[in-house]
Amino acid sequence: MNTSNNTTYSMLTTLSLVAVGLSSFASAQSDIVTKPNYIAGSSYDRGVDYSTNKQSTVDSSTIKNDIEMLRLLEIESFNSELKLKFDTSILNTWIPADEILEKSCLFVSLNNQEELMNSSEDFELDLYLILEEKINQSNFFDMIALI
Amino acid sequence: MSHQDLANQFNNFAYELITHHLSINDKVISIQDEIFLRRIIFSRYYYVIYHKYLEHNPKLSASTGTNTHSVIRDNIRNHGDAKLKQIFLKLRTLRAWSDYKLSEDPMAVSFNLQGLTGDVYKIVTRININC
Repeated sequence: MNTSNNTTYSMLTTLSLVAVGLSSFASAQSDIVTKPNYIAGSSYDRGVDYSTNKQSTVDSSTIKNDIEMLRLLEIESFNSELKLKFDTSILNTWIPADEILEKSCLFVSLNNQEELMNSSEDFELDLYLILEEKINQSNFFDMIALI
Repeated sequence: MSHQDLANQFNNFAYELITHHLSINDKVISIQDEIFLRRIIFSRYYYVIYHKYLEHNPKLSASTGTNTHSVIRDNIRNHGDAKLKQIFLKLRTLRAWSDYKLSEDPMAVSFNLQGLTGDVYKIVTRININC
């Protein structure tokens, strides 16, 4: 009986250790965020500081980081559409009225921009028309234009 | 002075600043001066479209106690043609940056001013704003 209890205890301990190890590995992996080049230097760089021991798990920096993440996802969805329709991608972004307007224009520069501009009478307008539906649904942007 | 006259005057003023900017561009000017100049240009161009809109909306022009800027934004967002919408919303963002965000932003220096001039000219010379 005692031997059986010891074996069960030993198995449970091993399983617990494996679970802890796996969850640590998973959490370490999820901390790695691959940041697209076009947002390098943006406010997304301001990460959440987990080094201080705060009572609340939700603070303003966490919310700010979540908003940044949602905004990044929207820009990424624009990028995917541009890849599909124009075979190009966003090279750089500028959000000049960030934190001033509730929704603002997203300024972008694109790969092969000059070529694209030469191929159309008004490429900037084409850019908006292609993304119009996504922009109408956007929480952050009411227009897209070229830098 | 009519709103159309104001729109024309602001347009000429901004255009003169750009011409001046181009003529001094081959001399080295500081980033601060460049940004300062661009703030004025963006803000004036926004008011070109603002007054152009009011010229074609006498009811809003005559109304008092209304947040004219928001009404114009909503009308253009909901009823403007795609090009008007693009130029206005682009300028609205640039004007907000120019007037309210005073930190230096080197991206402003990369912005294509000549393209903007052409865009504003297309709107200011419209017979009807179509909105």
